[in-house]
Amino acid sequence: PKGVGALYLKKGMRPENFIHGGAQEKGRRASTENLAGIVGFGEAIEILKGRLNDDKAINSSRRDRLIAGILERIPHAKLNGATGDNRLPNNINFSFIGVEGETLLLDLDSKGISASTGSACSSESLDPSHVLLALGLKHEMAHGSLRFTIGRLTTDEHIDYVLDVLPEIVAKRRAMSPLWEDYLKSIGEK
Amino acid sequence: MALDYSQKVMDHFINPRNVGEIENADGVGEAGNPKCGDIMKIYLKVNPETKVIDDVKFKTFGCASAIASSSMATEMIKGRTIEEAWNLTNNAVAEALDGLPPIKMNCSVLAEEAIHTALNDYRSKHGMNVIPMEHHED
Repeated sequence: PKGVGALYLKKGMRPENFIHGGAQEKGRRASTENLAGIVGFGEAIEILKGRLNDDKAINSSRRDRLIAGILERIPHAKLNGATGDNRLPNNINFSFIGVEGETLLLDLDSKGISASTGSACSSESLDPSHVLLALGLKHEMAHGSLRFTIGRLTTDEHIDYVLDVLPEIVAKRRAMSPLWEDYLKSIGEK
Repeated sequence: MALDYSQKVMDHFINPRNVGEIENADGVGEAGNPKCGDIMKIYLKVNPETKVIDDVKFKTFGCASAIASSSMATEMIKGRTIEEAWNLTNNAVAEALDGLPPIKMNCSVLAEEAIHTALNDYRSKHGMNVIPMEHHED
């Protein structure tokens, strides 16, 4: 339920209090606990435990279909991160050399698809995703990154729709990109 | 995170004008670099007698502001003389787009730089002096 959260705290850690006053929660967070919220949280975990394996299987299957579809339909697409069991069941993250993330987001948005990107242009700080850079991506690949996350409300039709729409968008923006042109020349495809 | 883009910016982003390249262009210029996430390349076709820019094309790797800025900038120099084109400023481009978010103003600066670089390329190939310009390495 909204209005309650949990923090798993390592033994011995003593972070600074956000809320001061009473000594609730062993002096870590003052103010009367949100009892109804906490009970709800526990209930949510029980429900989740019951469906975790099913959710994981369904999400992973859709995730992998989207990943495979993108690799099949979009040339020079790079999957960022692990595959299979080492990958979050609901995460799809690609880099498309030659195009920039914010541009992809806006084009997708105009087709009713929401995604996010690690490009510099789309962040407040104008820095690309430090996570992607830490994965060893070059700047231009970080700028061209696209992340989809799926969930319980995602349908097979959604996956089909993205696979229909995305290749065209990437192709259109690549056609107008000097970086893409240079990349093709560098691998001898132009 | 969605930036507030003007209708003009969105128009030039969704339907950019003058996209492409010119074979045997009279002047070619590029600005930006992969690290900063913006690269613009400008191609010019200049009338040898009148020195009017008969045709201009661009290719851009970058965000919506970058694409809109290059599209608008090429529209603004098309049909102008190379002198008039040199005087195009990034502020004029941004104004023509009904404004860019402050954090995106550097996209218009890049457009100005790409055009200057292309014009200087033309000038150096046609026995004219190269005009000193600023480079923005971001």
